[in-house]
Amino acid sequence: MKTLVLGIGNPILSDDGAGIFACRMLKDAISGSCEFEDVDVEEGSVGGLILLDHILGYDSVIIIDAIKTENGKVGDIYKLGMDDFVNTLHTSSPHDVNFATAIEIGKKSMPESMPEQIVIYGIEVDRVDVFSENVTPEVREAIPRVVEMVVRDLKEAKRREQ
Amino acid sequence: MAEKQKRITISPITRLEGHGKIEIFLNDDGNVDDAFFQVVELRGFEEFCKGRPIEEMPRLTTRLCGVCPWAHHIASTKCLDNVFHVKPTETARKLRELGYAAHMAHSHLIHIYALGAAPDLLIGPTAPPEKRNVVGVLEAAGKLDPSYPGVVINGRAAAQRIQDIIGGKTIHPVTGLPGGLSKGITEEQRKEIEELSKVLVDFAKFTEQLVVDEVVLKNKDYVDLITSDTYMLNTYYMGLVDDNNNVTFYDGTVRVVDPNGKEFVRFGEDNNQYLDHITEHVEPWSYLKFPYLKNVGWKGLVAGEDSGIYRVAPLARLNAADGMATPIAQEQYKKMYEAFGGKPVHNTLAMHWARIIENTYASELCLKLAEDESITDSNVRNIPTEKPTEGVGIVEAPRGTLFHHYVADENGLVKEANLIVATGNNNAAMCMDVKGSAQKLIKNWEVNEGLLNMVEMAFRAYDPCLACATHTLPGQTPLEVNIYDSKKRLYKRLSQNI
Repeated sequence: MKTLVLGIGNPILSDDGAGIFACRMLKDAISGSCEFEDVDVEEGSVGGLILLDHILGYDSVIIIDAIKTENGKVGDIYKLGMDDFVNTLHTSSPHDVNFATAIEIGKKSMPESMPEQIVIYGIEVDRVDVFSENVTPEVREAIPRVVEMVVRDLKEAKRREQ
Repeated sequence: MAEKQKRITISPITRLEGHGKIEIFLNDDGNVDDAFFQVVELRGFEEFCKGRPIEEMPRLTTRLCGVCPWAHHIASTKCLDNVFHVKPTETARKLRELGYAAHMAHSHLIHIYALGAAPDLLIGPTAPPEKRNVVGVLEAAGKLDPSYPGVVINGRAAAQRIQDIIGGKTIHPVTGLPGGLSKGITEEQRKEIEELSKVLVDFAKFTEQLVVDEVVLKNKDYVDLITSDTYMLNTYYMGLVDDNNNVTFYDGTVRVVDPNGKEFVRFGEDNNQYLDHITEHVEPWSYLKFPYLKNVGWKGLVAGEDSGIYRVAPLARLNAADGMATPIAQEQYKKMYEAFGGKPVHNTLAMHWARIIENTYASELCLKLAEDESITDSNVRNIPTEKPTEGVGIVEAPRGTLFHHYVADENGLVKEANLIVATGNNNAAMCMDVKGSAQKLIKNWEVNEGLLNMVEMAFRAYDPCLACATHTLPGQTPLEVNIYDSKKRLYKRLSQNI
């Protein structure tokens, strides 16, 4: 099963880069392991239809992104499936369609290339409007936890496949 | 461990309040005095850059914006050419221009099909917002041509693939270096780009026929809407032109024409000339500064020859130039100006039409450059030999003229960085179009319900960059309008999709 883990966000905009930092940590954790040789780990500061371009051809996709929710607790992690779709920070943009729309277009126009499963991990963040490579402590602490969750998902998928 | 799986617990809020926020000020009679369009700014980029090796800038600046990373990458790379006093090789120049043309096509296609022309025009400006999105466009267009949805995806994907081949990284380009590029392309890649470019050109022709011929020109209501004086500003226009005064995106001379279409000034990247011609006005009610033509002067938010306000972006570029450098785009250019009865066109909604013509030019340019077999030459870099000092890089971003200006210290680290971005250039004009709509729809304390729709249409035309992502669906621009009385007390608040 070909799997993509995609971290999205801006690595120089404080907590906005949470998804990217998680992906970098994941890459270090699983690189060289033959158990995960069919897993690609990518990063980008994109959304909408451009996201669609990058997930085509994979069987399974895990996206890690920053999210801000009303009354959210910084550092909380949400696991979201396609059924409870919400917009994380980068799955939508005023210059592009949102991710749910992009998925709908993908399913209509090229169903054979669409991943069967898409999961989004959202990390509740705080500061996203100041250019900095530092993240707030709660977010820093959440990053290894989300990586652990993703590794668990990948292992679980592998087990089911065998 | 805080792992939550219930949708019910999650209610994402708008990032940075990054939605369009409009402040309207009334006079004592309850009529509009002024209107400002607010953008929440991402702070501290210049500070963030200071003290970093200057050659890192083309990679840092791609992170400024997830929408147009190529525009910043190329402006920054050109800026470094000047900072290091080195010219790119001929091949590097062609490759940069090719990758950049693909980016322009890609960006314009998203806007045309997902956000602007097609949703408003193909579905109809009066259709409910939930229909006016790209899915609605695909359905409506599918009735005209069953192969259409696939064509749209393929057209965009072709532009994306060309960027990937040249950019050197899947999402953010990393290839630009002072004096050239980090890598060239193979003959096999050139052939692939040539084929992809043919797809783009065909798709561009289809797009112009669909939107302009089939939808707009055959429908009197649309023609009336676009040519009406609702959004009409007779401003100065700015755009890059080549030696023949044709529109160009990657490199050229900045040309400014006056509201009558007469050349007012032209300048290049040398000697920081932009500083002689552009300066910025600050308003207490807006985060974003208002660039204007220094030698005309700031007269407030007013149009006309005596006001230094200028516009950028597709329509401005076409107005500032004498034509298009490729044949199909040139035909489309003539057709647009004939339809409007001459130049310059001041109607803001013609921005959509101009964008379609620019997409054709970008596609034809990709093909022309890809057909040039010398583009696979391996000589893609001149190594800089001089110490870095100071320089300016100017490109036409999809949303208008983009300026990067850096100063290096004696160790080659960034000492100063100044950026004027496209949306900034159009700030004053956007405020004026908002003000124009407000003046029509607010009379003697009466606020017409159509205000939000009118404001949204102006927004769509300019496609302003609202400091990156907000949580929005096409056709559902998040907007908030605050109306104040003459004592600056909040009189009324209107909002949608927030």
